[in-house]
Amino acid sequence: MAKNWTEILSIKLKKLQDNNSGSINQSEVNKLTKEFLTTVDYYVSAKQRNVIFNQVDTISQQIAGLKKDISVMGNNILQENFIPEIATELHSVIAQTEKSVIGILDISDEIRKISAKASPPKLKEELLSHSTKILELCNFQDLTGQIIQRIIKRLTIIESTVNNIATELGPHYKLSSRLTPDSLLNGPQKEEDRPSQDDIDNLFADLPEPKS
Amino acid sequence: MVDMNINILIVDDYKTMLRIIRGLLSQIGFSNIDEAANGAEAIVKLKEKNYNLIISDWNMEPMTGLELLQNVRTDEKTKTIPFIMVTAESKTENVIAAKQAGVNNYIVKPFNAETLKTKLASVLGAF
Repeated sequence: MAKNWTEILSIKLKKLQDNNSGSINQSEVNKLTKEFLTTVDYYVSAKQRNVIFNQVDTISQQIAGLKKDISVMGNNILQENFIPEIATELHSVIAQTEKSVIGILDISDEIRKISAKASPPKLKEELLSHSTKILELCNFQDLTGQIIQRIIKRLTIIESTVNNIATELGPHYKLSSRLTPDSLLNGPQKEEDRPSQDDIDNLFADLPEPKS
Repeated sequence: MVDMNINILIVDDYKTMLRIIRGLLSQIGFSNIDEAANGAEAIVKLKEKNYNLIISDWNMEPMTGLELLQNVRTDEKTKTIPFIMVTAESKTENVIAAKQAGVNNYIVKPFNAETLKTKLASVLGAF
């Protein structure tokens, strides 16, 4: 019997999310995936199971990619324990932007103090206006922090579901935990791994000219 | 004219937002400003001190700003304190819910100093 499995799983996941106000209930995710796989077992052939696994494996690779991207901002070394690590890395992003914004707000306070002693009045007014603008522009950190919190909740649910599906499909189905290595698009590197401009210049100078 | 010595309680789970609001209030001329990092902490402070204004975020855990507002409006001691919601929640149903719960004004993030001053004036009176 032909069924749209993606649609069925999407509806069940959304219901789970809605019922839990965005928070994950691990036992409910386990129950959902067991039920889903029981249904899959009943209806699909081994060939179709392979197709399902390949799709799930693609999602798993994307999650690995996300973790790699996020780890650039984080201070933690990536572990194989997926669910807590994504949340940890994203919380680290929030913490780092918070630290920067607090530094900026300290400077805004200093400008305000200087404006109190400044003369003539026009300069005083200008300094105060700049200090106010800095405060207004720092609104972003709160908004991005809230967006990241929502992403953490969604990713946690997706990741848990993917891992459970792979487990239920059987021991001979193993998810990829790494990206395929042939991509040149790696995004920003961690600060400690990032080469300096001098390093790049030196490397560039050492490379042979391309053959014409 | 507004008494610039009133006690103001600002409630937000983001330290940077507390700094921003405090900074803007200071620039307007208010100096008695206390902070709470969530609704539960706010309720403790409201029991300990008399406040003349509450400025609160909505999206906090475990108690949301809406729940804090509902709590404030049912307590005899705090039910008449002006309450301004400052939040990223901007859907019509949010504003309706806050209004029904008794909020005095509603500011959507990101906001500027002029908006805050206008809303304060609407709730406290002219500066």
